[in-house]
Amino acid sequence: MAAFAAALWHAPTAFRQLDTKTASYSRATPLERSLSAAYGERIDPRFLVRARELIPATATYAVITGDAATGADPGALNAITPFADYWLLPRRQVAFDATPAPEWILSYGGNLRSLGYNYPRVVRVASGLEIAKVIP
Amino acid sequence: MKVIGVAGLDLMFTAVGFAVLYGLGLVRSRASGVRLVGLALLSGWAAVGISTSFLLMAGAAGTATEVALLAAAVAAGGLVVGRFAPALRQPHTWRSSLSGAAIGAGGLLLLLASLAELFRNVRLAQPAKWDAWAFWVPKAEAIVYTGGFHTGPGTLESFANPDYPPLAPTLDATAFRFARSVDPGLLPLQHWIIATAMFAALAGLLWNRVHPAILFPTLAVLSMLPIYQHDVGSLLGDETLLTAFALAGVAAGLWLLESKAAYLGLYALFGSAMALAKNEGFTYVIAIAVLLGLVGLRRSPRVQLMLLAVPVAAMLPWKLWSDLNHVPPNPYYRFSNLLHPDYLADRSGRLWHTLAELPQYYGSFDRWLLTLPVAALLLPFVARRRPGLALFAIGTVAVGFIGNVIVYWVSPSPLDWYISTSGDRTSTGPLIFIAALMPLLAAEALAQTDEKTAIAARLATS
Repeated sequence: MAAFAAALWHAPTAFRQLDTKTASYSRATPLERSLSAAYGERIDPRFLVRARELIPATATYAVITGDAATGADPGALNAITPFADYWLLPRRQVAFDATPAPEWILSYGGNLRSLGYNYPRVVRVASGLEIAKVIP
Repeated sequence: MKVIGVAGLDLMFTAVGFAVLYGLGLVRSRASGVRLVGLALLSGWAAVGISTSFLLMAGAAGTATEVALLAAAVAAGGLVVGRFAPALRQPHTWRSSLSGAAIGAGGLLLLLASLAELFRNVRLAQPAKWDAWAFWVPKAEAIVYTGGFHTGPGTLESFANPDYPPLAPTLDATAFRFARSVDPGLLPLQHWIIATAMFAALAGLLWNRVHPAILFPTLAVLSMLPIYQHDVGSLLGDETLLTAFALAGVAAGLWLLESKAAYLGLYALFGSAMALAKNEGFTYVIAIAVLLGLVGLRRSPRVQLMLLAVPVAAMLPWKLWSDLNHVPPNPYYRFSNLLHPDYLADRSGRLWHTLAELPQYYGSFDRWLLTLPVAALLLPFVARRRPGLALFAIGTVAVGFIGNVIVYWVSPSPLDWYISTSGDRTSTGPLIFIAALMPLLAAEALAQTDEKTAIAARLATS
């Protein structure tokens, strides 16, 4: 009975917490919901959406990070590589120095020029956030 | 259309599960079929999930057609075995009363309200927890995109924790296959269905032994546990482990009480699912097998051997696949370090710090309400009447705690970071186990009290 009473006592708080989460999902669009973890990690969602538009589903890409992204959250720099790995599937994430070279580089504050590749196309999404097509 | 595909998958799981339960002698009438429909869904989920994992290890792509054919084969096996297995007799052990029915109805109401709230929450959910999007969900997606288990970029093995066994990603990939869409937004609903089936399964399994006045309030408490509520629909592999752990634990408890082979069969099924769900699932199921062996020492050596052999046999193909494909071992801990006294002595500070930090993850009201205090209160009463069951319950939680202490002790990872990022999850298995076992523990403890009251009443009137 004590355990049941504790559960009953806890119910309003538990249901309120679940309702808050439900409400936040209800207000969001399907795209925003799919990016909810990215918002949580303070990743700029425009960067991921643009990458999905630019990189073909069969292509490979690498992610580099650095301090060139103005105002980028340290959490975002930590999370961008694994989150892109998930969100951009079936595009395959490889190391920037992989052989063969990645077909695209996603730079979240990194230095594209330091990699030694030629880039026929560089798309700047925001300050320090760039997506580049690679010619090895 | 996608939801219809997932519903079709669950119907298939249920049909296969009924065949498995027929094979075990648990379902032999319409009444037992209705009572055990939740258990049927989960038995099919575990049996098809395990066999699909083996199929993928053998090099198949795991398409919907392949899984359906495999499911048909599993169901046929269950039906054939059932022709030789005796029907399980489950005598009804309680009498209904108005007050008991009212308390039971109150518990059922809270359970349904809790599940309804969880449904509202998962309906639009997406992977939000780090481990869910960093490896559990992408592994499932990769199985579909690359057509099975492979190595290299964009495959099952390219994400974090590549050594983790593959049951959870396999089941999620199967949901994608049947939905004909790799949409992670489908998974929280499917995981909620599995969670709901777990409550139906526990209620059905315990219905004849545990009075509704105990059964439904204790199940309602389980559904209200804060950590459990955060887990449902989270898409972490822990959800798969917890469901299997709860059912394996209750099946083992019933086997200790009734010595019926059908329960041992259920334990073997869900114990195998535990082993293939997460690395710690394998450790838990081996520990439980040893405990069951010690508690049930009077039973035949063949049974003891089977208790240990089944989870090992379930895990073996994955270990072979991992070796053949050069999957790197988990960097977080090595149990072999326990054999190096100098290594352990150098890290004794970690041991004391862990012993100081970890208990809060087991006893905190905000995480587990009153689970452990209530279990501690009940167990002395259970021990007098059913010492084996009490020992099994205490032993499993103790082994879980000690195992976690050892992992944090021997791990090379920074301790505070490791505990703070995993303490909630690593404590969940043993505590969900004890919470799922609570209806049985409470029924046994109160049966002792009832017997004493009846004897006292008889003495008073004589």
